[in-house]
Amino acid sequence: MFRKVKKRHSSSSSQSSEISTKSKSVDSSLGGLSRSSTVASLDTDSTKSSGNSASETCAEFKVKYLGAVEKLDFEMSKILQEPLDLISYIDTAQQDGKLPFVPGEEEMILGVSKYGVKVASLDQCDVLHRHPLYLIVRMLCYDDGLGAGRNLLALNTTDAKQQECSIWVYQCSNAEQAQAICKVLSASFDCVLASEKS
Amino acid sequence: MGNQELEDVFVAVIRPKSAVSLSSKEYRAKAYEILLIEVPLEGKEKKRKKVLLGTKIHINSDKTKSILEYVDEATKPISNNQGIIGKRVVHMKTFPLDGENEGKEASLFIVPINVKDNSKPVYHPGCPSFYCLQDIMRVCSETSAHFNSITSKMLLSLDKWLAEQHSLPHAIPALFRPAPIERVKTNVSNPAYSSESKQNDTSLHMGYTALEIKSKMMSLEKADICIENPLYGSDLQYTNRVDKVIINPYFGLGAPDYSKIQIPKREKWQHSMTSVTEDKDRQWVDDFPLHRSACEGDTELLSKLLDTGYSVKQLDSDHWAPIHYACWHGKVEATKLLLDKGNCNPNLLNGQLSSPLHFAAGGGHSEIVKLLLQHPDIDRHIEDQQKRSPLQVCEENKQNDWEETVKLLKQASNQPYEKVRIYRMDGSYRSVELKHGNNTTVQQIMEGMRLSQETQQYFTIWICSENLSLQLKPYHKPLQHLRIWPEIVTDLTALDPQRESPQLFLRRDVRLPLDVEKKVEDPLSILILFDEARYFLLKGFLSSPDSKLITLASLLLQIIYGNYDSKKHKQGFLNEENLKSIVPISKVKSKAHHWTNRILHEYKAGLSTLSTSEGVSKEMHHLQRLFLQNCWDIPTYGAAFFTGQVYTKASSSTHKVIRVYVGVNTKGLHLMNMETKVLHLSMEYGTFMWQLGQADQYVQIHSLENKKNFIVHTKQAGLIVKLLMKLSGQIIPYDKAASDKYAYG
Repeated sequence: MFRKVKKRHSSSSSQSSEISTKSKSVDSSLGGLSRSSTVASLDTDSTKSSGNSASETCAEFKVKYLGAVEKLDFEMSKILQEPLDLISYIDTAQQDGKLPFVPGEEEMILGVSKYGVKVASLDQCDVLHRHPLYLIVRMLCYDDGLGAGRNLLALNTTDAKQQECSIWVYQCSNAEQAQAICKVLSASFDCVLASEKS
Repeated sequence: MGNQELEDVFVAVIRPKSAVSLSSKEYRAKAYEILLIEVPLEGKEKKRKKVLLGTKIHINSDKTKSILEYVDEATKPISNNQGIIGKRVVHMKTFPLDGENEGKEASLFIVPINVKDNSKPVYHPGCPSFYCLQDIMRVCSETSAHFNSITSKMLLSLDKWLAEQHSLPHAIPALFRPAPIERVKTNVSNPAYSSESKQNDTSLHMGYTALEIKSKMMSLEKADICIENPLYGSDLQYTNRVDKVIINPYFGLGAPDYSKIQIPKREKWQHSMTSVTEDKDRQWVDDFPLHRSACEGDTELLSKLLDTGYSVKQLDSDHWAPIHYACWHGKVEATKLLLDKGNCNPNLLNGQLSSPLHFAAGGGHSEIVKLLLQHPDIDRHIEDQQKRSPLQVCEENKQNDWEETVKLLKQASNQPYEKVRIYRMDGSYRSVELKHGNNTTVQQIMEGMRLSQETQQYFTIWICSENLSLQLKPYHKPLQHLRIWPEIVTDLTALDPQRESPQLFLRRDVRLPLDVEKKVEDPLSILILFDEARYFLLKGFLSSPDSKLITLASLLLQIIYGNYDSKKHKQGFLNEENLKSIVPISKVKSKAHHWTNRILHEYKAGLSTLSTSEGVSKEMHHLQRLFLQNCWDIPTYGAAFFTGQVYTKASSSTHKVIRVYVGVNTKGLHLMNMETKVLHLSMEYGTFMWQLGQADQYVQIHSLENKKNFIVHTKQAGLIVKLLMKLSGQIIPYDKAASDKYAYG
C-alpha cells in the first residue's frame, strides 16, 4: 500500500490508541480531536533518533486526488482555522459544484517528509503538487459523510508571501492510512523543531 | 450591535421521511417533510395560512451559526424543549420581496436535519410543525391562498431545486450527511501558523516562536548544492542534427544464436563518426585502410600503405580523402606524412568541397594549420561550399586551440606568396605570385603577368617539357598539372616521365587567327611572337623552301647584329656557331654552308630595300614584325605539335615506322617527319576528313584531294581531334561534350 513506511504501518494499529492518550491538548468537545502538532510521534524509534532517520525518510501513501480550491484570499485561512469551518467550507464547495464529491480513479503517491508533502504520479515521474513544509498551514482528516466510510485529507496551504491560501483535498484508501499520514506530517513538524536545537 | 443592519432570511427545514429516500435517484416530494408555521390570515380569524420560518439576522454575523441557533430556538416547543439541530445551512437562492418591503431581497436557506424519528410530534398552536412536502406542493401555486406569496414562490423554487439535486450523483446524500462535527477526525496544524488569538497561552512550541519555526522550515527549502548549466545563455546553437544512426541489420530475422555473437574490438567502432551503420563501418575499415590509418594517426601503417602504392587522392564512401580524416581528427604526423611522403595536394577538396585547411581550422588544430600553411602549394584563400574561409570556420567553431589557430591564419595572410616562373621562348621568365597556391588558375597567373589587356589576349600559359607541350585553359590550375605531369606524360606518350621536366611558358594561343595577328602593333606582343617564331624556326618546325629560310636568316642577322657592316660581316663571319642562331638546326650542317653568301647578300640588300623601298624605320619591333610577316605564310606557323607514328609500306613485306609530328593550327593539319623535319603533308581544312580511332589510340585522316587514307597512331589522338574540331569551327564554344582534361581551350 505504501512503500517505505511499511514497517511503521504494521505497528500503527497498536500505536493509535497510544497516540490519543499521549496527546497533550485534547479538546474534549471535539471528541479526541487534537489541534496541535504535538499529537504524536510516529514510533518510539523516531523519537529517539529524531533528527536523522525520521527526517530523511519519505513516507509514501497511495491516495486519490479529489480537487483543490486555489488562491483564496489569505483572510479566508483565518476563517477556516476551525477544523469544522474548513469541513463546512469544503462541503459547501462540493454542494456548489466547485469540488467533486468523489475523486477520479487515478491513484497517486502522496509522500510526506520533513520537506513537506509531495504528490506524484504512480510511477513517480510526474510531480503533481508539492507543498513545502513551511507553507502547510494544516492538515485535516475527516469522514466524507457519504456513508462509505471514506476519509478525506484536506491540506490547507498558503504562499510564501501569505497573500492567499489554497485547499487541497485527497481521498485516503482507509481510515488507518489517513491517520498514518497525519501522524507522519505531525512527526515532520516535530522533527524540524527537534533538529539542530541550539 | 443595534446599528448593524438586519437581513431577512427564510429557512426551509427539511428532513427525509426515511433513510432510504436519500439514495433514490428519483425525486419524490412525498419523501420529505418541511417545517412550516401556520399564521392567522389578517382579518379572517378562521382562515390560516402557512409560511416558511423566517427571521432577521445581522448581515455581518456568522450566518450558519445564527440560523442554526434560530432553528434550534424555534423548534424547542415541538420536541420536548430540545430544539432541532440542523446539519448545515445551504443557501439556495435570493428572492426579491414585494409589498411593503419592495426593493429588498430575502434569502432562502435550507437546513437539512436528521431523518424523521418515531417520536410523536407535539402540536403547539403558533409553533412550526412538519408537513409532508408532497401535500404542501399539491396545493402550492403562486396565487394559492394557503400560503403567503413569498412562501409559495420559495416552495416552488425549493421543489425544483430538490429535483435538480436528485439528478446529481452524491448531492442528496451529501446534503443530509452528518454535520462536520460528527465527521472530523484528526487535525494537524503547523506550529508556524499558530493563530494570534491563541498566542497568549501556547505561543511557544518546544521553546520556539511561530516565526522561528517558520524560518527553520524555510531553511529546509534551501538547496545544499546548486549546479548551473554552463551552456545556458551561451549562444551555442542548438542543432537537431543526428550524429549517428545505428540500425540493427538483423532486426526481424528472429532470435540470434547468442553463443556466436562476438563484441567487436573497441578500435573497430570507436572512430566511426561518419559511417551510418555498423555494417557500413566495418566495410569502411576494410575498404579504406589508408583513410583509417590517417583517421587514427597510425603513422607506421600509413607509411607502409603509402609504400604499397595506396593513392592519397582516393575518396571513401563519404567522399573524403585520407588527409581530411587526419586534419579532422588533428593527427599532425599523419598529415605530415600524407603531404611529404604521399605528396598529397594540400588543397585537395572532399566531396563536400571542404579543404584540409578548413577541417584543421574548424577543429582548432593549430599544429596542422601551421603545417599546411607552410606548404608551398597551399591556397590560403580557399573557400568552402558556403564561401567561408578557414579563418571563418575556425572562429565559428571555436574548437580546441582555436585562438592560436586564428593567430596563425591571420599571420599567414601577411606572408609573401609562393611564386612560379613563367618562361618566355627566349628563355627569360617572370615570377608570378601564387595567391591561391596550387589552386591558382591560368587566368589568375595571366593577370599576374602584368601584360596589357591587348597583349593578354594573344597569349596563354602552356605547360611544356622536352617532348610534350600542352596549352592550358583559363580555369586550369597549372601547378596541379606540374604536380601530376608524370601521369600526364604516361597518359599521352610512351616516354619516360622521369625525363620530362615541365615548365610553364607564356606562348601564342594556338587559336589566335592570323588575321588578328596581322593587326598586332604592340611592340611587346610582337617581341613575344617573334621570339616564339624564331624558336620554332631554329628547331625546324617552320618547314619552308630554302629561299624563305635564307630571307629569314638574313632578317635575323639584321635583328641580332644591326645594320650590315662590310668590315665586320665578311665571309668568315658566318661560322657554324653563328649559323645556329639564324638557320634551322637541321639545315646547319647539311646546307647552311652553301647559303652563307646568299644570306650575307640578302643581309646587305635587305638594308637598302628596307630603308629605300618602304622607308620603314629600323626600329626593332618593325624588323621583328617583318620577320613575322615572312613566317605567316609558312604552313606550320602557329601550330600545336603532337607526336605520333605512321606505318608505311616500305616494301611489300615490311612495315616502316615513321615517327611524326602532327601540327594543328588555324590553317589545317600538317605531318612532319620527326627526325628530318621534312613536311610530308599539309592539308587545309575542307580538304580532308578525320576520325578518332578506337580507345582514342589513333586518328584516321582521309584526304579528299588524292583520296588517300593514313593513320597516325598516338595516345594524343583525342587531343588532336578535339583541336581540329575547334580550329576548323566544328565546335561551338559552349559545347562541353568533349572532356577537357588537359588542354586547348
